Amino acid sequence: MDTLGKFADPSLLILISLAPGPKHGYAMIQDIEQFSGKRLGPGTLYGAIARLEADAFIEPMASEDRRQPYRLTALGSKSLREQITSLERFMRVASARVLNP
Amino acid sequence: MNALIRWVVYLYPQSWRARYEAEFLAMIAQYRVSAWDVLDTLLNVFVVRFSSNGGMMLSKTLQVSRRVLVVLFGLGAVGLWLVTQMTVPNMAQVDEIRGTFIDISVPCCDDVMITISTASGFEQGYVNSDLRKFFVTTQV
Repeated sequence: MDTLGKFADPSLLILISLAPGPKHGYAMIQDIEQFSGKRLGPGTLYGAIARLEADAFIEPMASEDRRQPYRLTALGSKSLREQITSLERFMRVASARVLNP
Repeated sequence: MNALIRWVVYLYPQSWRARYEAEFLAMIAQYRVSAWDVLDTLLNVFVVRFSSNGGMMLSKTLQVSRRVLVVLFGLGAVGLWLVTQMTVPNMAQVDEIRGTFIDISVPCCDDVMITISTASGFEQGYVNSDLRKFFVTTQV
């Protein structure tokens, strides 16, 4: 089930998944599937992780095993809030025009 | 599939492997990898290799290209299957018609040339693509 359409951008989904706290790759896949219904493939996940890390939106944490946990940076948290605010504004307008014309 | 995806990981650029390979392999070891996961990883290899900024940035254009790649891959597979069905004769049928198949060549677009052994010797000729007729050109 993929009902989020263009809002199911892997980067945004990862930022939302990391908002409550750090997670490693497979935990992100499971969490994202649970809250969005979209299952990210491993290539898509690590493609997005690499971009987010390059943009300094997420950062790796020290790990006790080979699994690598990631967490949001302050910049990533700020970007996520801005994206959610933008989506909320978009949804208010869409709702007013389409659902309550 | 887990072994296959490990092989696909080798296709990533060296810089990507140095940074992400160990944790990527640790992640896929946690679950049963599907064929779609392998294809997803293979597509990301192309994206990383063809992206502009050190293999790490993915432009909107490349996101579109990713979908196009999936469609092209599917169309290519179907096209290859159709071409195979149209041009390669069923040798079992040829055996039943004339004798034992020995050799095949494709001298032109529509027909294929085959060599078969029969009770009386060898025959060489054309089989048209729908396998309706065998046109003998040489008998030995």
